[in-house]
Amino acid sequence: MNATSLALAGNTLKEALRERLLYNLLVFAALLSAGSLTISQLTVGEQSRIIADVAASSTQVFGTVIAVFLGVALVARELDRRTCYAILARPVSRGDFVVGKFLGLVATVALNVVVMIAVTVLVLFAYRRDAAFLTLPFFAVFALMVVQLSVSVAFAVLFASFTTPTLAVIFTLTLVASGYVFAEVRNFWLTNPGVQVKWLVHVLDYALPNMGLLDLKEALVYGDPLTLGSFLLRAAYGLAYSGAVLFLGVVVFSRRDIR
Amino acid sequence: MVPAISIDGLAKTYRVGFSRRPLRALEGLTLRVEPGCVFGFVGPNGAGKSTTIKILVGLIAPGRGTASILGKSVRDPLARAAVGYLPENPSFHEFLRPLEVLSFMGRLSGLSGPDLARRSEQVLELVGLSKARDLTVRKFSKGMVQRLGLAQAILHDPPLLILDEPMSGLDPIGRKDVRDLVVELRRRGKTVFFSTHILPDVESICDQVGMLLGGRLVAQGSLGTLLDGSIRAVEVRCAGLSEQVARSLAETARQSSSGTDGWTFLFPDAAAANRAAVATVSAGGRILLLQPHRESLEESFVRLATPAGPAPGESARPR
Repeated sequence: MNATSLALAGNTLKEALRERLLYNLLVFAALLSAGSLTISQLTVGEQSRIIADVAASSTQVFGTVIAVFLGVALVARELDRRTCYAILARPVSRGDFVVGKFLGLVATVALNVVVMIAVTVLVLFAYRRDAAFLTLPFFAVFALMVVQLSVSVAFAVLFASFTTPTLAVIFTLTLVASGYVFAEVRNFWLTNPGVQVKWLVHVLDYALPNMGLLDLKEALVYGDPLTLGSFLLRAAYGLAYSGAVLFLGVVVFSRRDIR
Repeated sequence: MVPAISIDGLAKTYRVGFSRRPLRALEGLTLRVEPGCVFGFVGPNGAGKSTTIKILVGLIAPGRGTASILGKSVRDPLARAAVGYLPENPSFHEFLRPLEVLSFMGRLSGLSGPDLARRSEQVLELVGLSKARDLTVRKFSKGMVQRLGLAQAILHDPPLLILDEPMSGLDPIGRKDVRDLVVELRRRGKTVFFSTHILPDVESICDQVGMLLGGRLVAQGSLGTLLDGSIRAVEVRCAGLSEQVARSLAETARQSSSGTDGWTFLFPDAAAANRAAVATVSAGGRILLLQPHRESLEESFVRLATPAGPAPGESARPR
């Protein structure tokens, strides 16, 4: 990371904050979280958990949609509208450009998560009338969600750097969804002797992002214990995975002719 | 002395379409631009001008050959620190105001703080956009965007300016402003390399010209060496002639016409024009104009283009 990447990240954040899509999704997610107050009335005794579950899930789902669609749009637009010409003709490497875009987009989704944390805190406080839920694990869950969203952003940047926006969205959503689904089935596939093509499962285990590892909603909802070591290891995995995808993006974009 | 731009055997082939059909854009281009000169890079649409420029500024990788800027390979991003680039039909983030664009671009070139703010104000004034400082780029006309493009190109005071069709989209006043700016930049010792297919612009400001056709350089040199210098015709304009004398002069002229201010004749050579001038004065007429017509850059371009290969419409064009 250098001053050039930071300048590009700042400009990307500025551009993202002018996107109507961001606000539409954010308002919808916030309304859904606030609406969990009503939904929680349908159960007995678990209202607080339902509120936390709905709030965290909407943060995750809408955060992913923002990361994918905004990530692809902002990178593709630089190429389509040729705003990148004057940028890349300066002493800016392709790596600086890709990393700058990535950082700006991660800052955008992080801001989105911060707003959702505020909404969640307000809703939970309105229901419980106490702040006992504001523990370190509560914030750790959302912090890990930012890492999880950064994986989606990295895929969006990678695919937008060499293909059309539509294909980039399809590829990114497919890989991110595969990451969630595989996290659910990997243990079964790896341990069940009935599963034949174990080598393929192992390849997928390494290649696909393990989104389940970065998803700690259960710790938030059921109060599962979360140690600092576990949190740091999970965060390190997510950051390393994002870094690897981003590196691939830099390599691909460096080889691309900007016509 | 290290050349401002040095290109050796540069070639580029694009792969186009689903079948990845090869399309040659540049073929063995060798070119040298000395520091401090204004170099006009001319050629029809699709000749390879923009491809060459994009290779120089690192947007496209060369297929074969080498290119360097002030001694540094164009593959090194740091080589571009010495370059100010105006893209063809420039585009900037529409939500930014001109000073914000300049601040962003300046930071990418390593400027910061009061120096960046001062330079931004200076170049905004220089390109005539001071009064548009509060507008976002979204509200700019094409000419205003072009001026902003020039402003960001000169912002960091680079020794080399690479301008891709700088007059494009400008009105006559804007074109004159750009010509004046290029002349001023040369006076300050900058090297200006610009592409265009508007040949009169080249004739008025360039020291050196390179002509590109079908991806090949067909001529390079000063205007004096590229134009053959011979007299193509001599125009004589005169008044106070009787109808009979005018008719006799028209018989020896290549073309003749009469207007409110007298007669205009076009003679094939200086000797015929001389005889006509003597006859005019002897008959009591007045010579209003006696002007030899030499080869223009446009005529020279057509002359060189004819045997060189593909016609402009057939030449490679990246897509």
